Amino acid sequence: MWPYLIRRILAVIPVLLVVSIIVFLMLRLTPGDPASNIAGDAATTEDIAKLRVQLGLEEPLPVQFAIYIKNLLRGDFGESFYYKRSVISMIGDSVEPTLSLALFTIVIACVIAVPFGTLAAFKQGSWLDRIVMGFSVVGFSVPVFVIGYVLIYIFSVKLDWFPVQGYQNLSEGIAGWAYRLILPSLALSVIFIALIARMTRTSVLEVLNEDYIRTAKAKGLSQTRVLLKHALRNAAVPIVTVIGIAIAILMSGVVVTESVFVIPGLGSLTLDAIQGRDYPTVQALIILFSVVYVMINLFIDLLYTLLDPRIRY
Amino acid sequence: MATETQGPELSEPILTVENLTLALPKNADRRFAVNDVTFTVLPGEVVCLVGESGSGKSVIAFAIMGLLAKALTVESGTINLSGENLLQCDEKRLRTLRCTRMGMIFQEPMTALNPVMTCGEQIDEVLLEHTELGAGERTKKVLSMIAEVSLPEPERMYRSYPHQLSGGQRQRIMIAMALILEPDLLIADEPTTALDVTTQAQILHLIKELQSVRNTGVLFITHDFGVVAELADKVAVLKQGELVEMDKTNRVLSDPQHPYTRMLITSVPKHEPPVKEPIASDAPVILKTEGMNKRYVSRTFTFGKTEVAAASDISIEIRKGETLGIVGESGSGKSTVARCITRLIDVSKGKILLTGTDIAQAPQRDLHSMRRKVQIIFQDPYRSLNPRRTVGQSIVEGPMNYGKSRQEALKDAKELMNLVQLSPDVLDRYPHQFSGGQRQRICIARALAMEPDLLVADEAVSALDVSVQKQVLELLAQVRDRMQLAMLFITHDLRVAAQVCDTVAVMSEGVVVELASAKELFSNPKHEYTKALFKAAPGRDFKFAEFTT
Repeated sequence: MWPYLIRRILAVIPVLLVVSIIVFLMLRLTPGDPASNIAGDAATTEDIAKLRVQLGLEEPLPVQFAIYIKNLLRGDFGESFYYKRSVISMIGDSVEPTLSLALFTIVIACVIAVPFGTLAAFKQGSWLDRIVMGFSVVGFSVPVFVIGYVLIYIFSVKLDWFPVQGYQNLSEGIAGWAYRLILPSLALSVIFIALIARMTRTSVLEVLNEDYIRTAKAKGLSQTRVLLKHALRNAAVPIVTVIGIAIAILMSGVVVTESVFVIPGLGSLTLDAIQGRDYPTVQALIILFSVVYVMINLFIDLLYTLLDPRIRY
Repeated sequence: MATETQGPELSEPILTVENLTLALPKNADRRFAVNDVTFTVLPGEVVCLVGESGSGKSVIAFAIMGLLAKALTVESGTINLSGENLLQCDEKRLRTLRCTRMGMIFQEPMTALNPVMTCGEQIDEVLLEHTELGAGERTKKVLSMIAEVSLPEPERMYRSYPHQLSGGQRQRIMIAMALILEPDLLIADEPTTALDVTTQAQILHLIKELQSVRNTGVLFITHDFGVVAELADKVAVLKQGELVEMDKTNRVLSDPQHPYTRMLITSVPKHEPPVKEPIASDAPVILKTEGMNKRYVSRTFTFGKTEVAAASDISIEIRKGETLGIVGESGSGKSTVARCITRLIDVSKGKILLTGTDIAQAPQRDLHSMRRKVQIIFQDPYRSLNPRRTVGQSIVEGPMNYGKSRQEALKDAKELMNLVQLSPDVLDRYPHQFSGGQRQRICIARALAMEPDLLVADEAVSALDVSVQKQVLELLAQVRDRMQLAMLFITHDLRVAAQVCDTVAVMSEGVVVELASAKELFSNPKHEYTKALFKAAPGRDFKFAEFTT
């Protein structure tokens, strides 16, 4: 187990190296100039050239890259071209809303999807099963922003139950924090409910045909116990895998949801940074996202060993 | 052995199945899964339900437990468990009865236990559901039950997950689970079919022992007349859902009345090899291995490498027209030998001489011509034919690969179909349109189409019913004699080996422990392991009825 863990954590290093090279090159090889963006419409060519020198963009690419990697290795992600603040502190400020949104979304998705998926499998072919499957198809096909605006229209504009947009920090009170998160999380979770419910149904259906389910029934166990204790736990590995994938996909969903609901999180930060060609910020964000990706995967793999005693590393 | 105790005759039956008829769904190949079946099980009595696949024997068991598949419906009849009609019980009542009054064990101990729960927890669940005992008392009772099914170190067994135990140990856990509340009736659905013969003997012994101590009535489902002879007081023979014969075991086995029972009993391969012409000593040697070895090496991050010898120092020889049998239990290395010889896996050391050429270390690209000479027939005819190709396509593919024209290959395929006693007209059908026995015939035809020198049959008849098994064995012998093939016959079944092999190698733990002519080996086994295998074979001492059909 420990050797495995160490190996997996060490494997993060080459991944990050490749990611940093790709993101560095992609930013510099795509058209658009941060200097002219910052300088604004009224700037002269000299102004822009001066700014480019200031930002270190006049150096040859290999030199820029060497500086970038050197700083990275010291844990220095640099300063934002715009705000002249350390990128790390900017990310730190935006982490809370995004983390809250992601957590809320995934909890809502699991709490709804897993029981309904299980029930749909148990009552295969029933009206409940059909509704769950129907919802799955719709949930998959409708984009997040459409769901977001529809929810805003119904629950905020028409019914006036929820605010139209905005975010409240956790430090200002948990009730307000949760209240403002419900609508965006709901919008974002629809696709994940669809995904997880479908996977749960398939997985449980498969397990329900296994011999040990028949054994459990032959022992005279109640249906609830057969379903929860025997079926669901055995079906868990694929379900957990898909939840892991969901968390990974979530990050792209967050960008859209945050702009629909005007939440000042990492998604908004990423969007602004890319539009403004704020190289250091984009680089740091992408590296952060890939670390999160890799860690989620590792966590899921470790979770397998808890769920299934046959899996050992 | 079937013994007649004085007790059972006097007492009331615990199970009475009367005129039970179960209907199959409309599009099935027959109307009833079970038709008008009547029998009883007395306390302390072992009743065997015998029949081939599809005879409805398992369906009856599930009907009793109330676990019938939804597609099957009860048409008429009653199932009385100590006076209570189970067919009229609701789900809740049935749940209460399961494990308290009727317990069941299944065929596959591998899959019948929940892989993510410890064995102890799984037994404990029964007590949790059906008794008011506290946690401490339950654990104590589970541990004593584990000890009672003769498992070593009950505490460790309690904590173990199913995959950490052997097949036999898992079946013991199942038995502990089924019997912990001392039900009146134990239903055993082929509980030893998936086990090795020595393990089978132990499990049969255990069931017999626990059953007589507790006076449990047992409904034992099997296809194996050896097991019947070993265990049953009474036998009921089922054919296509109908009960054709039922009586005391002794009577049915020594003097069967119904033609179907007679057919089944004559199909059971005998322990004594038939008298055969010896192979001419100057017949050319087709296959010879010298000191063949197969080791599996696994390297781990921390512990360096571990080595497992799957087969060591195998030296065998097969002549033209000869059949060499390799007999052994699971894990003995017999399939490893077959795979090495066919070069499906790489050999670690030693020589494999195929018609004089050493192919042991030949690189893959040089094996092309050798592949034609060696053909293999696998155990499961359901999975060894591509379901999306017609059997004709499957048969002609090989010869065409070796340069035959389609017309020629098809012409040969038609002749081969005649040889394996199938109509040449069915070449354009798909595998699912055939029965298991027919599919195995097709597999044989496919192998023969390559005109091989050596035919390797890896458990080729193990998945078949006895009557079909007999036919396929006869076909194999016929083909071998007519085409003068050398045959390597891998099997776990001593009786089958006795019937087809000229020479038999007994394998245990990767080593050939005894190699002798079939006649010699079966009449005078020398090695301890061979003797133990013979002793474990169920029904060996029983004198079955013999017919001259």
